[in-house]
Amino acid sequence: MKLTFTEIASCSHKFDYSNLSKSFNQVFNARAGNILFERQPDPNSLKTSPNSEDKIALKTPAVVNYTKFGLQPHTLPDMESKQYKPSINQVFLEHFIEHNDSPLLTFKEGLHPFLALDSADKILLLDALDHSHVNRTSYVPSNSFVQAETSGGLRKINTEFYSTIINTQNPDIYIPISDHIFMSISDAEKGKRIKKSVDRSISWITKINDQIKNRPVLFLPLMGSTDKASRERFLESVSSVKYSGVVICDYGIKPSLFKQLEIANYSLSCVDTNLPRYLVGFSAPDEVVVSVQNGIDLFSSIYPYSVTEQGRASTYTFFVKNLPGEESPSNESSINLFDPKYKDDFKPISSDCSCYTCSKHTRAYIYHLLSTQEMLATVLLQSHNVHVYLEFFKDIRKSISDGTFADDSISFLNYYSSKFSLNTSTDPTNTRSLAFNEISTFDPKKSTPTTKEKIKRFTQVE
Amino acid sequence: MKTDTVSAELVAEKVIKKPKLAADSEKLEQFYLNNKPLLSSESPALKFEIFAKCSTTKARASLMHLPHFTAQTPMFMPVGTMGTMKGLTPEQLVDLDCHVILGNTYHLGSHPGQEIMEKAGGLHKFMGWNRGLLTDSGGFQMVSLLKLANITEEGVEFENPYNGEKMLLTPEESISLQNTIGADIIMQLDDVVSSLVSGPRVKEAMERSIRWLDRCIVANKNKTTQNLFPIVQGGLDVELRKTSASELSKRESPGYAIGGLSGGESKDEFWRMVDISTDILPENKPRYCMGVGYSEDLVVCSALGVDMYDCVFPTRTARFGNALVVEGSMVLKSGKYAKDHRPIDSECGCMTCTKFSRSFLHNLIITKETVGCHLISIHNIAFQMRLMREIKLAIMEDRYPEYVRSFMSRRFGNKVPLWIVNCLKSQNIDLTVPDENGYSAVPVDQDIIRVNI
Repeated sequence: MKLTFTEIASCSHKFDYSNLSKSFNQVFNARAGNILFERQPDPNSLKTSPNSEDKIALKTPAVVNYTKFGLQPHTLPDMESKQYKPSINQVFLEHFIEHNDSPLLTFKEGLHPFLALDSADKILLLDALDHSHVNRTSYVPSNSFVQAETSGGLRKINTEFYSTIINTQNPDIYIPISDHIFMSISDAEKGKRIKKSVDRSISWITKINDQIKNRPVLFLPLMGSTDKASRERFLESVSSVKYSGVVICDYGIKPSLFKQLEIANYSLSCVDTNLPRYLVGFSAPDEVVVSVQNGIDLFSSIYPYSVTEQGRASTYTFFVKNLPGEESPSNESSINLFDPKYKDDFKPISSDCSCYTCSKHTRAYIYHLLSTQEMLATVLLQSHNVHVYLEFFKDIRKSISDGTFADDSISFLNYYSSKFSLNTSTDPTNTRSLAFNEISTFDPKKSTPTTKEKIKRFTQVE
Repeated sequence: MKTDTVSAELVAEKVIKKPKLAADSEKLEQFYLNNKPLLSSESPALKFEIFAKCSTTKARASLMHLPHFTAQTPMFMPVGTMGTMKGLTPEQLVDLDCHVILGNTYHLGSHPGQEIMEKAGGLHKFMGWNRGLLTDSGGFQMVSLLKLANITEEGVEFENPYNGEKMLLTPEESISLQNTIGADIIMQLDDVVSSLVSGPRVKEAMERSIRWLDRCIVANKNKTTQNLFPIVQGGLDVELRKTSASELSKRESPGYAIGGLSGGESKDEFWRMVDISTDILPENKPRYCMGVGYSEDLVVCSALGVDMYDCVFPTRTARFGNALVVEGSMVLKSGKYAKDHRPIDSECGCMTCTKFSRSFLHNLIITKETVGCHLISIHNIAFQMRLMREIKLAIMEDRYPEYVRSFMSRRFGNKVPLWIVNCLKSQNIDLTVPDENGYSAVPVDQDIIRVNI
């Protein structure tokens, strides 16, 4: 399998972050690109020549669909089919080892059929640990495995197991297991934690690379945490391994976005610029815009999920505009549909949204579903929130291609009063919560406003 | 009794046959197009046309033209209590071939409430469903949910669970609420007594239900768009049932319901009450047996001439991870499905069965992921709908007795509950006598045989 990235447009503007971060300097430019993914014909297959379906083209900046237990949250296949195609789904082995022996070990046909995904328009990215689960307080690092958390208890994923899964499941892309650090930056920097993390990761990545038979595309996690020398050492040590994309994944130490971009740049400066860069752990639209300004290409769709889980519906757009006659200030990123003021609001969430939910259902109906804890609420909200997120990325790509990204992105950050608003004139008396902070209170392991009752209902005896 | 012999090691091929839905639906459509109704009735908001009658039993296959949709009967109506079907979108319900779904007046009256429902322009618009809707009267929930309900001639007195205030649900109020909700079929408020109660209270309730029916008929403002169904009462007393059914029949209603059953009475009493009711109710009007939804009950009651059913069971059991199959319930949280890569039912054409394996679903169920419950709900509704299509086709092709036998053999094997044997015998199907396939059944004295596979 082969993945190539071609930059098709870029923005040479140097953004000024001096009001937001004293130390951060922009290194990379915003860019729009093309990912071309090609599946080589299986030598054992009866098909003799590759057909056009074995090539999938994808424009960046793009979304990597977050999945839980193989499906996008609250999204059944018929709802998923309403999303833009083609796309990438990221699947986590951690979700399939509730029992010590995973069902994947005996499912012979591979991940695509197991998850009912069409290989013609879906690229499958296999990863080990769910990156939405940031607070791994009981995480114990080991020399030989990463520790997965399931509702059935803790499980070990070692290189042999992970390689076996790759060999039987044929993912299109895989991120090898590596020794992520789940502790504060100051704790991580004490002692030898970073060095060990790099040593283990190098060993695991090379082992898996040797053990896998089929050749899925490798996305390399950029290890080394906050230490520049460690990051460089890591990259030198894995130089014999062929990779086609890089993953920035220091979310376990909970860095600020600027800290993350700063340490990522230590690594990115050493790797081929023609590799797609996937940033994990930052997915809110304001974070996406700042990251795109700094040359990031791929993001995980955790954000729309976190909006849904709070009973909220997204109302932002990348190209800012004032909607006349809106009751709520349009520079909020979402509306809270738990609010009784929507009980008789028979308008769609957004009048100009073309998603399934907005074409069929009203705010009043979703308010009703939320207040009665009906499961359709999150189904409809997720469909809308994902649609808004995907439109947002589409607009970013257009803006970069049209050469207006510098102005557009600055307007966006100024318009929504988020933590990345570049203007200092923000009214200090304004007590409204910041835009795009839905994700800051989101912890997938804890109950949310929309799940509290549901969990109860699942388990109650009738 | 069939048992599943899948061992943990067995890895079966994922065999998926072509969806049967399209083929069956096509056949049914063709039948209605190419045949003329044998018998019909016409009310301002409902036209009922019987296209086929079984030559052995009382079963019939019909079209019921409602203001919002033309439904094919016998039909099963899934219950969407709060104006939504357990996480499924209206579009998915259409894909599942649902013709009519239920809303509960009591629940909708408290959430979103009559005022919002009025502003929304009724439940069809509120929930985005443009096919048939049926609402109950709210009386059943009063009695089942509220311990302190007191029934007087005026109505049902109860304590509002939200603020403790004394409230009164009268026939007029129930109809007013149902008029606002705007369902195609609405139900009279009846005086519900448990089917386990006997004595003068049963007679009083039956007679009061008739008086309340007359008040409901007067109260119904939307006679040309909403069909008010009376409910046959009378407990388990043959004479009271007969009186109720014949009194109601005089009212020239668009259709009739059989109520006060499925409340813990013995099944042998249950079917006899249904049988008596369908004998008396006008043949050319639809009959609705309330609260019935187990597959064997649907097959048996259809032989007694019932046309409509509703039950929360298929969607409720789905929430606990149980998938319906002809042999019983597949308990998907059981560890034996962890590595079983076959679909729930390879013959089923639903989204769940055509796309996902038992092992995949097992993983979703044990992790309590809501999509798991949606996928099982989809299968369970598809299962009910497919069963009803099979019943309709068998009646049309006048092979219903053969279908009943083959169903019983698949569902129970050779040991069939006595009440089913008795009931079918009354409809000229004797399960104890071997048929040409050599199938015969031994009656067992057990009302329900639950098979968890």
